[in-house]
Amino acid sequence: MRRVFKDIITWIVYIAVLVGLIYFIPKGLAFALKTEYPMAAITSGSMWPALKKGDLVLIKGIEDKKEIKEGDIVVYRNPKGFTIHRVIKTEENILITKGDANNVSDPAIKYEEVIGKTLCFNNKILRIPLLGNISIFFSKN
Amino acid sequence: MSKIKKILTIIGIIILVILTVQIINAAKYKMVVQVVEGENVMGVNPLADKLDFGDLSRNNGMTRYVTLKSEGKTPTYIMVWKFGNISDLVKLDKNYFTLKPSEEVKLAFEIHIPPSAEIQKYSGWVILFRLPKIL
Repeated sequence: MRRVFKDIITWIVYIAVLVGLIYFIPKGLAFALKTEYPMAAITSGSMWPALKKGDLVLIKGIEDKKEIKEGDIVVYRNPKGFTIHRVIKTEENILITKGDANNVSDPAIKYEEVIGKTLCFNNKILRIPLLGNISIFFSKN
Repeated sequence: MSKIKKILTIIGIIILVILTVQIINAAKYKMVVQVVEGENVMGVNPLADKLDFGDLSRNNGMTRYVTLKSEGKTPTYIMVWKFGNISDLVKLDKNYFTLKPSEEVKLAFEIHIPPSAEIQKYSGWVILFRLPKIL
């Protein structure tokens, strides 16, 4: 009886820790990266091979438009949701993006529409392969 | 070892054996494409033993087919897994489906070379699992 009780307590602790991690990791990242959307799942192959479908990337918030440079991969809102594409041209009030695997560039966007840019380490994008599939699965279902 | 642990170990071993047998029995095809310079370049290698997409330039594509037939009297569940750096470029027209007894299906493997592809050889494997659908 005592052993069963101990097992139940252990399971409750495990589940509490797991739920805590699931809940607090995004909150902590949002605070550290200064954005509401600190993680993004790649849902298409438009940025192949830099980003692959199913990748999970970390997004760093933008405080000043000077932080956005040509070559950066930015996330911005569009009527259908979010787009993660590379900046190919910056102008005073607008910027132009394009998916690496696309032939045409996207319509110009305003700096205010940019949510953030992908977090890099040693000039390499921090991406977790396949982990984004979890988010894709839940958004589809 | 407790009784539960023994049962779990036996179940684990059975699952492992089933998985190993399925992997050994699965049809395996090598996939390969050579990305070349230029526009509208296409060189075909008519080999039947592998899914060779030949030479393709950027913005080009090709489709190769694998014919599947269910020979037994029970339906067969088909599951296709792709591996290697070519796998992101190849799309299947259908996956995770059931083949009825005596039914024949042509599975299309479509490759598209995006403008961001490097001039190099991309290769990989496709593993085609055929699982008897008992339930």
